[in-house]
Amino acid sequence: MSSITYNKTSKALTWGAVHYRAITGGYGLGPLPSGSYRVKTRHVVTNPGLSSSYENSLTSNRWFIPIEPQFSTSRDGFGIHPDGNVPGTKGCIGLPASEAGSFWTRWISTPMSARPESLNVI
Amino acid sequence: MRKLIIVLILALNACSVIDDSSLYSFLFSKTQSDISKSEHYQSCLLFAELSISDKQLENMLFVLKAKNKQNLCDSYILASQTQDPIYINEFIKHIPTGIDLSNIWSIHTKLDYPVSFIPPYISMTRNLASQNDMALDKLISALPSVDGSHSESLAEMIADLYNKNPSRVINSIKRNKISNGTASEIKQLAEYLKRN
Repeated sequence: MSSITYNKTSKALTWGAVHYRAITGGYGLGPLPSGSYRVKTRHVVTNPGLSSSYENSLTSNRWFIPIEPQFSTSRDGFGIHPDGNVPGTKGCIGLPASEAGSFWTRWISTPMSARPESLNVI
Repeated sequence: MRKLIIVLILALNACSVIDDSSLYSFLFSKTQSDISKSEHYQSCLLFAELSISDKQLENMLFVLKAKNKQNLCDSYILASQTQDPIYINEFIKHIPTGIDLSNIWSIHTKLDYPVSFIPPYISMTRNLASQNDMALDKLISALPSVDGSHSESLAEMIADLYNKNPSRVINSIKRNKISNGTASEIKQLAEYLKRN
């Protein structure tokens, strides 16, 4: 089972040997809390009806990968997605358009069984 | 004697609901049962969308009207299945505010519904909010407490309503004492939506 890591200081989402620039927070209740998350690989959504918050402005693709805290917290509703509309997120991990394309291409070309099922936020 | 007759009628009615094995009866009895929050929530959503006959509608109205106190699920079912303005107004009254509204989103997410599927209680409130100030106030009251993708969705709904009628949304933001920061985020998002 593979996993990914998000470093809030370096603003990097790391999957294997590849680092993707990504941000969290800026609005709402703040950045994603540190800790371990389950990546809900069976509940990924991609469709044009999604909120503009999840749109890659370069490709117009909209997608959302839900993640679930594996620790006790009052916060919820998080995911990984392109950082669409106004820059910044409300706690999710947002990939700028330039990074979101390559991340998504890799995600959809990775077999289900090899997709990361956990995320560590530090 | 009169009380006894009423009790008997209610009991017989409840029996007919439970004994009948149709999907209508199964789901309706679930909406009226003391079951887990998530199971109850799902039963309410499914029942509200179920195609029901006039007779079943009559039965549902009979049972729900006889209840001393209706809850959010009851009012949602009545509003969805009848489209009657009286029940729609009751539903708006039952919709909670602030963190309690946010909690509906949390229950919904825990059930693994996709992010694109907005909780139906909230999407009905959004639809009504374009003309009803109480519905708008209730939506806006949740702005400080919603989180993550829920917050993104709510902000987009409100920005969309702002583009349709800015002064209504500004007045509701004032009534709800929403911070200037959050208010300007909504305006920024509304501008973005208008441009794109």
